[in-house]
Amino acid sequence: MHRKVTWLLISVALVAALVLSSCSQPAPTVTPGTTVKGTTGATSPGTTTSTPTTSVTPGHETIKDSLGRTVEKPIYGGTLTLAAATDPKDFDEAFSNTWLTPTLGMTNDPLVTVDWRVGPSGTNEANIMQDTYYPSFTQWIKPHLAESYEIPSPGVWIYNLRKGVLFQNKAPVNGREFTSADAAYSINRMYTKPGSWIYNAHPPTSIETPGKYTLKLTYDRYDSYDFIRSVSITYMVAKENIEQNNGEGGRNWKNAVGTGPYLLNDYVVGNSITYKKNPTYWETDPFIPGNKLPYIDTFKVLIIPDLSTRLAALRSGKIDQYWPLTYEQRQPFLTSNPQLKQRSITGGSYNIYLPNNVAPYKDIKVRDAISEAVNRDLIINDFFHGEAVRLTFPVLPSNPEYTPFDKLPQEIKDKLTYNPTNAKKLLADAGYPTGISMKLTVNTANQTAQDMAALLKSMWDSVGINTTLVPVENAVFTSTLYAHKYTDPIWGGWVGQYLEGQLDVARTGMPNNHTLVSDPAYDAKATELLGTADTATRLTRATALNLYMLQQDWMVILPSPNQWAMWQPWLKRYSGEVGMGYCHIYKQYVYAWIDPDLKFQMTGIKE
Amino acid sequence: MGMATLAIEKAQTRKSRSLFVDVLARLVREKPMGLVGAIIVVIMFLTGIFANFLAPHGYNAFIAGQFLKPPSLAFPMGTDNVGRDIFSRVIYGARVSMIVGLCGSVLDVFVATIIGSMSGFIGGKFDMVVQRFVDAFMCFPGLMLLITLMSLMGTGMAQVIFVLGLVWGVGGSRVVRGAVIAVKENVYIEASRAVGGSTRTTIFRHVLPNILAPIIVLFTTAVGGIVLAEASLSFLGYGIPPPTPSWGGMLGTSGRSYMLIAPWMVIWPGVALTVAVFGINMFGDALRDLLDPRLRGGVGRYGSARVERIKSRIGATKSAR
Repeated sequence: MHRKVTWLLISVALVAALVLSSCSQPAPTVTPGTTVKGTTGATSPGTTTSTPTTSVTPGHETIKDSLGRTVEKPIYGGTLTLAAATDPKDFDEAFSNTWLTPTLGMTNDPLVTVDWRVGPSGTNEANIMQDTYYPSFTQWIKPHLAESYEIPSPGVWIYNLRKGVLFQNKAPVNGREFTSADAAYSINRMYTKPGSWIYNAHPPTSIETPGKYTLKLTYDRYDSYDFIRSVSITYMVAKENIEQNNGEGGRNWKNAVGTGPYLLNDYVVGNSITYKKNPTYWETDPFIPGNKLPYIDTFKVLIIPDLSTRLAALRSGKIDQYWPLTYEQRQPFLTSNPQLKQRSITGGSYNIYLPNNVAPYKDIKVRDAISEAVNRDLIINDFFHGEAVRLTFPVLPSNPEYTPFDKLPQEIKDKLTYNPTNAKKLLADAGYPTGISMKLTVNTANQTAQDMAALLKSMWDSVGINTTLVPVENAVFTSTLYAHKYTDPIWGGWVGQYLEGQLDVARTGMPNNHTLVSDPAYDAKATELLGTADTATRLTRATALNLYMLQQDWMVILPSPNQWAMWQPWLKRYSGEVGMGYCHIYKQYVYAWIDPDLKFQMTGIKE
Repeated sequence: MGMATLAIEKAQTRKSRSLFVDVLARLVREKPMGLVGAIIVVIMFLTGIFANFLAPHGYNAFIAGQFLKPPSLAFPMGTDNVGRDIFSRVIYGARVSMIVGLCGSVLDVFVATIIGSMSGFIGGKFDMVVQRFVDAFMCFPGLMLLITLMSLMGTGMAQVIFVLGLVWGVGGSRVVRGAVIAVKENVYIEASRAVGGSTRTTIFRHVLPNILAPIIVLFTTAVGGIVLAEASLSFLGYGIPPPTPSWGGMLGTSGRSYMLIAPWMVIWPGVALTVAVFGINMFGDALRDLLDPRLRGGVGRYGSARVERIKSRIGATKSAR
């Protein structure tokens, strides 16, 4: 009896302690230290944003770079450690998706890539934060293994390859030179290998090598998507390496070899991937002439499936950078790790795909009603704590063809403005005076989506759109989404990255046409746009088509929350870039360096 | 009138009382912790039943400008990341968690008792075959089994209760079976058979009352586990669909994500869950003691008569001194 009472009292004391701690103030919203907001809605290429200032470690030299800036002299050596949630699915993108073969980003090179120099670590002219890629806007594209490219006629692409680029000194390639034959082989196999994710996707009619360093791709028409597929996503490989083991030589990590900045040194399944610097890498520092790249000797990726553990690794200094951090994940770091540098990144918006091929969603009045019942200002200010952008569809604000919300035609602005009264009227006009019933399928792997769906349900219920949420597990969600058989709305992924990809959400017959739209006029316009080589004409057509997509309300466009990249202060010459081109998630670290003295001072770890 | 006579009269009074009233009276008098537990359980029940009247806001009603606010006078338990009053959600969550927890436990006990008592009492080949099925069932990882069954049955509260009750019940049948085997060998069981009692009569009149204690323990320990299992299912998309609140769901989903910046989102549903499970366990313990027939001759239903007799002897001895 006495023991029970004692335990009861102890329990009450514990509960009281928890209750009292819950009454504490929320974590601060003001960011101490350096915080940089990425470009959001109002900027366009050419607008500068502030860059995290990097203090010079006492005792370190400073030099003037080619832009005339005084910068800390990079130090060679050190180890950069990152974290990944999963193992690579494969080591050869021809058998998988480039997203799932991240090691290629370090061991191999594409023919072109996004130009790091114009990004926030360089001249800060462009938002190259995301792993996205805008082939129309050539000031952002840097020929990489190709020194230059030209389009002599629509559908003909000629690449002039860099001379003297060597494969890594590893069998069976043994450090030989990269030539146009390698480029031709690499591109051809991606279009012809059934496992490749660009298999048969508008292949070139011919792939020629007029010279040792000249590659010519001829397509039946100009399509800017081809630029992404053939030369940005496709990594250059060596035939003799790939052809081992009946064409599966590239799938063994031990055979990984390319022209890239790092050699794949070790891979322990479920544990880590280790890269060592390629001593014969061809690229030099664009701002410090004569400095060979990369600076960092060892690049390590720890495989940490659990998110909490990854965040703990960042907190304890075990990893040097992490992205993406949501608002609630970032906030505790403001107090626990104020020394961390950070940058906010505007990603694509959340969206809800409406099945436009079935009633009642095929009626634009119903679609407009669903959209006008959404209070986007509340979502931005309250749900996302002000850290969100209203409109990032069909393209991101940093795209030239983006139209800011305040410059949209009034008709489209009305569709994106909260107006529950008009929403009810629209439903009545569409023949649903008592409202409609709607099921929304949500992916349980995305907690933010589930929470937002609960908020939206409340908004929709208030105008007569009686919503039932249907949470499904990730695999079921993905198969449901791509089966295209749903008759009720389904939560989508992020949209609004690059134009070519976003056009597909409504193009007839495309796998990503989750809006189930079949609009011949739109298809014709999209095909025309993709076939437009002239930049000015492309810009006009793209802007017009974007407005058309917004006007049709094929999906419910929701605000885009900011996410953050955070990194340790000893990771220098890094400004929060999370990719350099489509699926190239590691290339930005080639230009970064580790400050060993600062790292030792802060962690006691000697590099 | 002597003390012994008084004791006899008291015992006769108790004999004329119904079992429920008698248990209640003894709960109040002899089991203070059990009384606390009972009060907690009753409060939870009433909260769940009258949630619509008690909650100041709807369980999914967001309040503009009040997202992620700490506890205050306006919102005693704070608000969550969707601007919903956590106090209201905890109240509505009582309904869901209690329904799932209690109904699931009832089903658990029902299934465990059916399987365990039949298997244990009949014995022999029947027992062997049934227990091999139970063995196979228990070999499956619990969560995988739950997910598989839920994916076949679909989401919803009834499905959750059924699946959780079934899975817990099969595992719990071992406990019941063990208790039945222990009781089966007693003389009174043989006596029941000797006087012509059927298997059903013997089980209901003699076996079940004597295994009530482990059954009650099984019930009380299952409640918390079932509520937490429901949270796991909800997290995977197989539990109570959002935005319907359950304490486990509030803990396992956005509460966990915002724990470091808004600890009230996990503390209050956690406190509610803790208090509920504590109350049920305490009440269950007390109920077990009060209903155990082996205590009938001691401090049981008629035990206080014995206490009175002892007191009267002590009183007489003191008078003699």
